Amino acid sequence: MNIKRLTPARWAASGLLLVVFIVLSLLPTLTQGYLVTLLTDILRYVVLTVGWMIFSGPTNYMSLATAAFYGVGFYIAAVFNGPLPFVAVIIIAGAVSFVMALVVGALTLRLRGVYFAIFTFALTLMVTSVVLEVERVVTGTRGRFVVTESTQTAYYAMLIVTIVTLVMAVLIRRSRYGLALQSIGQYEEAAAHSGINVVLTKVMVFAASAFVMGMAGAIIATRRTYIDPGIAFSLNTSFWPVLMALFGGMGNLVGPVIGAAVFTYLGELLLTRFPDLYMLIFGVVLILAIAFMPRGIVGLAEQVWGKIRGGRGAPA
Amino acid sequence: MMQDEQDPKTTEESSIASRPVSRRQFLKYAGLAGAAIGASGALGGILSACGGEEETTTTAAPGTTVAAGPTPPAQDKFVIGGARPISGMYAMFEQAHFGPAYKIWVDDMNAAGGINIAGKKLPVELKVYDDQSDLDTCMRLMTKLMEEDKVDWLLGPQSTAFLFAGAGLAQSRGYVLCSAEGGATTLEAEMAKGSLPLFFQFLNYSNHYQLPVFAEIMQELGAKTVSIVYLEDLHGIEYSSQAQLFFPSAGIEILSSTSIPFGIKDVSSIVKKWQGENPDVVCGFVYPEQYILVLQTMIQLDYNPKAYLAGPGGSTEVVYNVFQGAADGIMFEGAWSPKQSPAAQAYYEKFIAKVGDKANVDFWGPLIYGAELEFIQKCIEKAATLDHQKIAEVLRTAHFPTIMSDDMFMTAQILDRSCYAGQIGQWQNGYPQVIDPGAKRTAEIWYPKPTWKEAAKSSTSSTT
Repeated sequence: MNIKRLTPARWAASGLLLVVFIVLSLLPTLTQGYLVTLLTDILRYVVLTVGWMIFSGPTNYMSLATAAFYGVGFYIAAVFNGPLPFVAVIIIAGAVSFVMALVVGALTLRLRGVYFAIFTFALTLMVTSVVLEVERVVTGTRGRFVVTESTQTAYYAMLIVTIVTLVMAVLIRRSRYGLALQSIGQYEEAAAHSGINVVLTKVMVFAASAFVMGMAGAIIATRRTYIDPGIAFSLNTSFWPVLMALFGGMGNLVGPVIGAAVFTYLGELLLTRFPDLYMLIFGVVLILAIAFMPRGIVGLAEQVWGKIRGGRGAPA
Repeated sequence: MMQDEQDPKTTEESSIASRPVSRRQFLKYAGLAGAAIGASGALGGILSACGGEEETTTTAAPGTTVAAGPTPPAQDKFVIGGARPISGMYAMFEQAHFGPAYKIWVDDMNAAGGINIAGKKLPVELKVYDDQSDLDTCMRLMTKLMEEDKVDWLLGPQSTAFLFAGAGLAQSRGYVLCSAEGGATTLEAEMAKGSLPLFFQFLNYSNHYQLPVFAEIMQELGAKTVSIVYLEDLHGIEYSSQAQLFFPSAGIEILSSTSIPFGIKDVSSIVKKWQGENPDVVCGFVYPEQYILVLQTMIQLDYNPKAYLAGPGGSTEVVYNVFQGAADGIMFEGAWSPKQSPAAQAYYEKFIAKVGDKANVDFWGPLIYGAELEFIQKCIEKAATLDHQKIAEVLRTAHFPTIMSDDMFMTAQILDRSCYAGQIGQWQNGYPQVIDPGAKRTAEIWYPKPTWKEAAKSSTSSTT
């Protein structure tokens, strides 16, 4: 093993990652309060943001279909949780979202730019209407009760899905699919001419990102007791991950993770401490972030770190 | 597929066996190992967590339990928490429906020195968060109120869907939850299963008992046919499906039942269909936005059914005023009238003082909310404890006089039918009248209702 080639920073990063996962794994045994609920929510957004980043980050295709795949997970949980084990429900939710994304992707990923964004937005609206209509005709009602899971169960399930998402994101990024996606993002025609099966690559990665979104939806649904199409397919779910990724920085995977965590916690803090000024402060923070941190929090941190290191190395 | 790359799996396997591990590979394996450790820890957690059927949270029971005899609690204030729609699409409900009701309640309790728990008067403090009319946010904030803020009492969230979700959440934390602006038949099934022993429903709704009473009224008036328009939401779907049960059994034929989506801009084809069907009664299980559109179209097409039943919002004077009196004769889901009793009149005046304008008063929920909160306070004081299980026991069985009823009590966790001021109202000269059959009726029913033109000419449009 060529351990000598590891820099101290890499050692620290690996160690930190390990410690974070261990702490997160042990957390419910250390605290049983609201923190676990809040962390589940943060992890939910980490999954959605990283899931969104897997596809939209390198390709520059702005997907607004997150709510559609996430909402499908809600409905899978509403139908199957209870009759089937929770773990099976989560996997089914991911699989159904995956298949749905395969079908949708195969039909639409020839679209580009704003057309693709509008289509994915319309997809969410269409799925909402279809589910609403099916419920009205078949069940004669609008919503469904969901068999709930405990806070701990939901937390651990979301932690596992988060790990799966991050590992999947790293593997895709470092695989030939990752390179292909970057090529597509930079110059799609050139990528196609160089032998990359552009449509297949996009569809597979789009479906992979939908897989984790569906799983996240299934887990969160079990904490909501009752769902209806408006709740399951809320358009906020499509927009928040985009903002979180921008806020954290889209240059690497750390950015979306930090963006999702800070964004969720900041929102919670402002909403409960400054309810009257919440939207104002949040809006100002977002505008400042986009205006002065085009590479997000991580980009700013890298910039500051670079200046510090540059300052140290500069001649006196 | 990319033709110019080697199969990475084959390359990787052979390199692991025969070559020293590079820094890049080491990092990859280290990361995967870390992830695997985290995942295995988490898997262990989820498996153990899946084994238990109930929450293991120990922060559930708020306050102090009285073991024997009423012992005053050690705390020096009583905190009431709520996740309410201060902003967003449901903000009007916080401003003019349940919002003023709970604020009046808190003001009244504090004016009396606080809530009396086992002989100790505790000043009441409100802790209300803005759920932004978003269910996700509402559930998170309700969890925070119970687990972190550990409030002594929880206000009901707004809307039926939020209530459904909130009921289970509060139950899992050992909190009593009483309804605010919401309620529907689907929740009855959950209550019948015994899965929500800490939930109590106060507001009336479709089968409890608005549509049965409306069917009785139609029978009394000799109405034989009805056409329905309903919104594709929880309220609309629920009411239209309940109408299918109650109307035919009262001998009323449903000629058509038409669903409309949110955002509809033209209902002329529906109104023209009614003109062809010529029903005695039209029911609009829709919200103010659609209700105004439907009525405007009926007025423009000069279509005058003998009776029109309006959904939520039809019971507010602000909506009535849109039509400058032409809405006289419209029936609405509700219902109460300020002149039903001195207590109702006094509450009406208090409500106006809180919301600032009589046009914002609703004649469906507010009297029920006022009576509900009064009833809750009496139950907490009778329980002489902050233990929610014990308070729930009192709520289930207690009888107390309130501003709405001389004998208010719950039957199977739902407010008994006899306690309501009314189920169906009718605007008459700008005044809300209760038209339920029997002693609750405050005025004779206008049937057939005046035509739009007649009503607009004769109305005085005044509640006071």
